[in-house]
Amino acid sequence: MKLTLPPRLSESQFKSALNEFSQIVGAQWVLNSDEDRDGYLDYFSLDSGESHAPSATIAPVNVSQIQEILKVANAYKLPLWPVSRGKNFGYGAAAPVMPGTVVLDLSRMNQVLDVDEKNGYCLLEPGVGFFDLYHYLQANNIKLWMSVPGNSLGSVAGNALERGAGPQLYGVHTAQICGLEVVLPDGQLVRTGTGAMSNSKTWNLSPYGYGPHWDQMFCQSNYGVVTKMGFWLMPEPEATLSLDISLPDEEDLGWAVDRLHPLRLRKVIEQNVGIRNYIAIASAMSQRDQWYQGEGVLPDDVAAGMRRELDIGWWTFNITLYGYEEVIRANARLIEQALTPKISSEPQWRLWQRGDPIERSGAGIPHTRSMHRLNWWGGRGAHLGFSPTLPPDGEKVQAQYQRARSRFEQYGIDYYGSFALSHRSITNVNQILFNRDDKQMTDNIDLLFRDLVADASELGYSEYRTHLSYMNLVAETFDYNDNVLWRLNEKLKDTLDPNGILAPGKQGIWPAAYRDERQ
Amino acid sequence: MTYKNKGKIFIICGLLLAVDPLLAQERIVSMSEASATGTRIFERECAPCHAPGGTATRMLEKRRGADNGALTDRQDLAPEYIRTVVRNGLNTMVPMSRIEVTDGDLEALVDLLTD
Repeated sequence: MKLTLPPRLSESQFKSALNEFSQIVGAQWVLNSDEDRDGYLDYFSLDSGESHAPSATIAPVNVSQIQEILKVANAYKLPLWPVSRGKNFGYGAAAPVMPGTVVLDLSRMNQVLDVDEKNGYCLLEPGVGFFDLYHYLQANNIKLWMSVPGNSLGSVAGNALERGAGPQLYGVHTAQICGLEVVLPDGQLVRTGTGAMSNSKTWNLSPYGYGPHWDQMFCQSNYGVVTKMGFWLMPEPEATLSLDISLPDEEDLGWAVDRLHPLRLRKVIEQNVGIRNYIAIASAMSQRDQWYQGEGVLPDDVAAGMRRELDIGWWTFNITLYGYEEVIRANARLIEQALTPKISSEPQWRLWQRGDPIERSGAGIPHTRSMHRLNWWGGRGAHLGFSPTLPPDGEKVQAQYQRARSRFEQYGIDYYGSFALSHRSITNVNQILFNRDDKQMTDNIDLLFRDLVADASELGYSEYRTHLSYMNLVAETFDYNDNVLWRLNEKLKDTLDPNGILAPGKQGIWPAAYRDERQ
Repeated sequence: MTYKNKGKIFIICGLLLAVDPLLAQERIVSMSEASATGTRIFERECAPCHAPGGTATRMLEKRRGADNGALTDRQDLAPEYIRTVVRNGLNTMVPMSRIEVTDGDLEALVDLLTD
């Protein structure tokens, strides 16, 4: 990818800034060639990545290097895009919103700084990946379990700060954050929560602190560079019980939500239940051309045959209970009472007890099995997600499924939908799988995405996280009082980052100098 | 693979001994280190997808036949091909930058996979 300069810098200023960066981190850790830029493009983009092309990458190894880098960035008014490991697939990977931004790659900062088994937390640098943390816990025989997202190649901190999620008990990752260390755009080092006391003993134990709570302010935002994250991990349970349920009919979604929700609300089930459609399952284990070589949406009879052969339902969900065996057995009975009136076969729970192989436990073990889904269409497969949140009501959920499915099929894309049931809401993940080399498909997907956004916001269902190319679009949907929240976010941005050096455009938050870039 | 490594070291040893015995000793140490480094890098950077049963291994088995999907068993990987795939990606494999996998790391991987 050819060089696009940062908007306010000349070529000689840019070169001069890179020289200063090289003095700080060493020339090896400043990347500036065409091939290097390719390594930081959005690999799953609808175009060839040019709309979010970075200009260069700089990789520091500690806090003081970051502070020096920010000093230089302020002096040159050079924009930086911090990434932890840059594996934000489907949302832009390591690429910036604004072309010409320099990627600040924190992956070299990969120390597990502390793990407290007794109290169930760890303190991590941004470069610690899910695999890294897992290996660390295993190697040190620490009996704490993780929650991992479907693609575990990313950073534990990066994922939590983006409000990523996993299916295990501690699956709402952002809710496990307890205390951050952050470098502000002006270089000041801040610790949030009780860590604001210099000899704090509870920084990663007690989440709120005194006064406004800042942990969430550094999630999905561009207010600072997070250099340490306190994060809660689950103590290894005595046992787990796991159940897979297949629902044969598309109409089964609504009643399943209505029967599961009270259990979720009352913490009989303590983590979000993901109800997935058959494309979600089939794409994890096969490719479309094994079933159908024609154009357009998979015909119903082909889909039915595929479900029969793979022995999967129209919808599938798993419930795993974690804890003391007598408690989870009691909860399992309550779940059976709720479900058995509507399902044809007796629930077959799988029991895991301490000492059994960990692979059978339902523990969060990092994996990349979800990545197989990208091969659905073959070739240079990719994905883009739209995930609105709605009330946990069966009728509304069934209608949302119908509406989203019609949109997918209108544009010739196989419908992939899953519904993650929480205690007071449900998030409908629409995973748009595609082939990057099919221009008709990629053009259609942009239209599909925009329609999905419009449909959802018309009903008051909002997106929880989005891709670089749609950050402004999604920000626009939060239109209460003329988008006052957007203006509040930008007011804070201008105060914390007057030179606009950190992640311009992230979540639609533009520094004053670039506000025209919104268009 | 160990056997092949030993063979390669022996051959290089033989050549270098003809030139300088001290150089040959250093070369043995760096070959072992390279092999250990290559394995370490493979485990960290590649194994998440390329381990037995992994997503990439399964896709490669589809193309190359069952039990033929493991990268570490391949005899046909050329150094330039490895470098190209790592730096540019391939189908649903994403590229890896020179921060994540340095040029030195990449050469250690090339050594590992072409042995």
